[in-house]
Amino acid sequence: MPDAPTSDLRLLAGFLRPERRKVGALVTLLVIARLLPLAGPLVLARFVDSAASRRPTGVLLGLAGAYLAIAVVAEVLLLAVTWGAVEVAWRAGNRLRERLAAHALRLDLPWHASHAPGVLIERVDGDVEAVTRFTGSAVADLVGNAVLVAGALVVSVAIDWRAGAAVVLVTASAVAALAGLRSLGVPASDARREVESKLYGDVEERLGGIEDLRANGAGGYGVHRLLVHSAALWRAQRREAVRIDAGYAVAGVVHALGTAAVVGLAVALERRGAISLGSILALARYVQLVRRPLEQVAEQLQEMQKAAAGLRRTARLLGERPSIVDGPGPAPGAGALTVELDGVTFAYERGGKPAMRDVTLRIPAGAVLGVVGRTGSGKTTLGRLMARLWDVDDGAVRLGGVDVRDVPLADLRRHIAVVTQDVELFRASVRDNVTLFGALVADDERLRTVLGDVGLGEWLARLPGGLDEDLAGADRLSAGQAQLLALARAFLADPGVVVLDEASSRLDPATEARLVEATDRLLSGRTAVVVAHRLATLDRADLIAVVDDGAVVEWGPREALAADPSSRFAARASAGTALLGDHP
Amino acid sequence: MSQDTPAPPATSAGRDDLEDRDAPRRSVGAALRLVRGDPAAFLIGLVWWTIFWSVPLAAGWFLTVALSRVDVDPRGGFTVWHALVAMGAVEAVRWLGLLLGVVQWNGAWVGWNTVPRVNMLRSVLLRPGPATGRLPSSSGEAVSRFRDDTFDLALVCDVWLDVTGAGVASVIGLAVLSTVDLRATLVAALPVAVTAWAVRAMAPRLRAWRLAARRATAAVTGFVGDTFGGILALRTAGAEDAVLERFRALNRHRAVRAHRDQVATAVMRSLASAVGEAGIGLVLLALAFSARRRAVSVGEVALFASYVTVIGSLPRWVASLGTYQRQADVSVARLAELTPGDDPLAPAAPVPIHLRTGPPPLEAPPVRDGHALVELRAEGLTARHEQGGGIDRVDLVVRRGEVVVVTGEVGAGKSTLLRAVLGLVAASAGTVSWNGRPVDEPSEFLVPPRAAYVPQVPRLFSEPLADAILLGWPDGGSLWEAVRLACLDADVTAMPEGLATVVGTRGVRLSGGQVQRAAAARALVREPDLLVVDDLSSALDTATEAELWRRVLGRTGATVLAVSHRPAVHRRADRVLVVQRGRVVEVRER
Repeated sequence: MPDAPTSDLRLLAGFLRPERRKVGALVTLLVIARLLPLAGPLVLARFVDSAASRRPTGVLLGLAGAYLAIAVVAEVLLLAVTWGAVEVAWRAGNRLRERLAAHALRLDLPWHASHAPGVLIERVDGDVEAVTRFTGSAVADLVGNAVLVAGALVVSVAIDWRAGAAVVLVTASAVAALAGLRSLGVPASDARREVESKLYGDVEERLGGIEDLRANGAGGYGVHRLLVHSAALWRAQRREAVRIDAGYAVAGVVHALGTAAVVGLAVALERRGAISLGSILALARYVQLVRRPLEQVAEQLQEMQKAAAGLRRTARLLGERPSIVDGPGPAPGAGALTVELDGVTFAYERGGKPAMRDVTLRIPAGAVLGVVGRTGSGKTTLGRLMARLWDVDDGAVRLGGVDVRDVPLADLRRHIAVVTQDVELFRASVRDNVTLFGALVADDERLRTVLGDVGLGEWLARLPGGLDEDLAGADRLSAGQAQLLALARAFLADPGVVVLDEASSRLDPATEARLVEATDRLLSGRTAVVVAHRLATLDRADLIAVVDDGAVVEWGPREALAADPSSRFAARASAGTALLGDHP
Repeated sequence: MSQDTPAPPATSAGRDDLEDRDAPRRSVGAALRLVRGDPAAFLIGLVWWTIFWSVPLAAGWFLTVALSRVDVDPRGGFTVWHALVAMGAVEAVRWLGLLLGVVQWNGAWVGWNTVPRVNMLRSVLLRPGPATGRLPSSSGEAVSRFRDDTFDLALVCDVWLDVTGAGVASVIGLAVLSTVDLRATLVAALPVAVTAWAVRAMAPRLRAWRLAARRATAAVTGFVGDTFGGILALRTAGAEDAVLERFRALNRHRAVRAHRDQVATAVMRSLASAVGEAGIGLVLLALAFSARRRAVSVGEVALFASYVTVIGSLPRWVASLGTYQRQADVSVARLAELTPGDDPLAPAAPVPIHLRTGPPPLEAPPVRDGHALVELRAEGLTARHEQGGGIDRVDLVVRRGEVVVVTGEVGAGKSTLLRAVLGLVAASAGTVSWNGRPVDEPSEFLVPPRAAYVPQVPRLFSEPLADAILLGWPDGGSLWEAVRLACLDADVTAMPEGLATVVGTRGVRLSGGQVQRAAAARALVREPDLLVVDDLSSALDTATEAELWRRVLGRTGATVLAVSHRPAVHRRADRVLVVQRGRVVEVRER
């Protein structure tokens, strides 16, 4: 992956670089389109002067026609610019979106844990949206308006330098007023946005917890909160309005008085014979012509700040580095592999409480290790380290004798499948959910077979759309069914090593029994780690490890441990107590 | 109020179900009802914006007077200088007046957005009946109704102000111009008609393109949210490249539609502005013909040029009027979906929204009515899901002080049974009775202090933990006791800010077990006659769960209806119901 650009401008330049030829052409077209209307007031002045001096109708008609033509051609050119600019913006925007998504997908899990999907939508789409909107329309408007204002000033000066100087003075004062007062509005706008995002965030949460609220008699509380937020929004928005519009109002007043002054000066000049009567009208129109573009420039500068903020966040995201990167290879061979943990120490947070302390385990190829222990004892961590979702702080994890850090990640993950307790489902078809958007290759026949094997055949048969049925989030599957689907994924992946992480903790005994056969098939010929609360789940384990507080306190062949009355495992097994799970 | 309208939402994520291309034209009536809720705000706005739009006519008039007196300044009386001072003054006053108008307008704007929001939330959270099916889609999608759809409708109210202001100014302008040159005036009026026609002709296509663009956007944002939500599964399967390939395809699809939509919008906008500018050219043509018969003065041209600019803004507003109203047609339908049987804009029983002062303190919850639980009984309770599953003719009885446990296979209908008893899902048959009296509306009746509920996957809201537990319930000193009963006391003590710690997605993230125990505390603090608990085991380890049950059941008189697989809980149960395929197949009495 190339180095992330560090500055906004470099990023924006990089963002548009592949499109530079098109951007150049668009800017040229834009300048022409915005300079063209400047001829309008001049034509108007000539028309007035010609009419006053009773020139032939043909001259007047020609001038009127010219005015009309200028208006139409300028507008058509602007549309052409919009067409091109929007296209460029979307192409470049999508390129950035894809780059961000590709980057974020490879970042470490702790990073993902601290960034909710909603935040990532904002990063991958919202921020880019601000940039594309800016490049797609605001850049064109900003450049165009700047060209228009500058052109109007130049033409005014050309008509008469004194009157022109007055127009420049008025414009400069209006700009100063807008710029000076605009800074007042920024904190007020931020405050309003803050209130607004709280309001929407709160509404979304309440809507997501309708049952929680209703069944606990708290519906009125939810509505009350909305009223509180709405009143806060009312205050914030009015406060913002005063501050933002103070800039417009003062600029408007400056402009109104300035227009009167410029026209007064022009009248004096005309009386001394320096300019024509029509030129007074032209100057008056130039002063008015710059008012709206000036305001727009002020607004678009704000858009630019938003876009720049978006780009900064984008750059920050691209600057995040995954610590877990491909190893140099080569990958271990196919089939069941030995799994070794050699003096593994690991903490989720640097310097935090270790979740694994000096753990050494060896699982021969094809053997099944059952891991037992309390919640939070480190069972889950064990599986995560094997799949290299995290890197160990000390020691090593080896698959087939190869350190997992020495293997390309894609190869490693072809060798190991992890079934977690919280199954992640996608608003996509059943097929996409099982194959993970095609990452696991399988034809429909195979998919049906696998889903049948895990006990979802009946469920699949009931779906009207079959494999194409949209799963629309987790609504359509119960927690247990979702877990069966996760097992189907593991079957399809056909890995040499399987980690079943508390895979059966939510399943009731009957469903679990139905699963035993399928799970046995999944485990046979593979090396497996089965993490479970329950002893029943451990019947097919060859080895047992008892984990407590991040350390393996006991491990060995299951039968040996079960037979040894002094072992913790045997004690727990016979008592069926809380440490391992109290299932009969 | 183009310059003051808040920017429209960046992405209309979630509005992916806008198939309704031929939504009935409901936005006008809807906006009228909304405006009628606070007529004063609208009328004041109307007066403000009419003045704001009309003042430039006066300024243009004074400019005309000034120009016509440049060469013939009368001695004394109203000179060119008087005219210029007057021109500057009226414009200056107009801009200062804007400040007042804008503050008033923003208040009205928030009001137009708040009324439908409050009514929708009231309907979703407080309307009697089952809780399922209240949101047509996900909660994230529903939020777009609270944000984008209320925005779209408020925009209609807003654009009416501008259209009225610009319309009145145009009529006055045209009336003044007609006294100068009737033919040129008629030519100046032409652009308004042309634009209005163009908007009408393009309307259906524009709308279809807008919908397609929004759907494509929703597909992209939904996909991003999903894939990052499921990163663990994708990561462990090495599915990153497959995901990116799909993302790329969705992006391409969206770019084509968004481009079409944006260009079409630009065409309509530029049509309006070009027709305004072209209007001046057309007027000049007309005046050129007039110049054959009579002298055309500079004042006359100036008057036409400045008035045509004012009149020329009208097509833009007419175009916006059409566009906004059509957008809002869809929005009105979407708002109404959340308030079945009632009008989200002018409900049968309107509630004050208290924007100025904030709402009064929340009313205290209902006091105990003396109908303390003796016996809860469900008979023949049936509730079917659309996709199959559910419960079928289930009988159930819970007497005061009893612990009743429901167990059974995955998907057997255990959760559905609890939710049907509480009225959270609709029962198609059967009755629920409380102390022998049938309960007509369990969702209204089986709430605290009679019953409280701990869902299987509870939602904890982003607020201080104390608020997230109390949810408006008065803390009569029972909060800490509830926290202790739920085995959350040690966790709370370990938090630096204790019960004031902000939790939830926008605060400290609690572990799954902590969320579940907080949800238990939430139910316990209400001291319900009947505690309804769905499976706690999914996020609690055995020891903690056992301790929680020990504390809760240790309380005298606790009446519990729970789903659980744990033998420890089964041993404490007075009755265990085994559910299979929606039927109770076995009842084990102690």
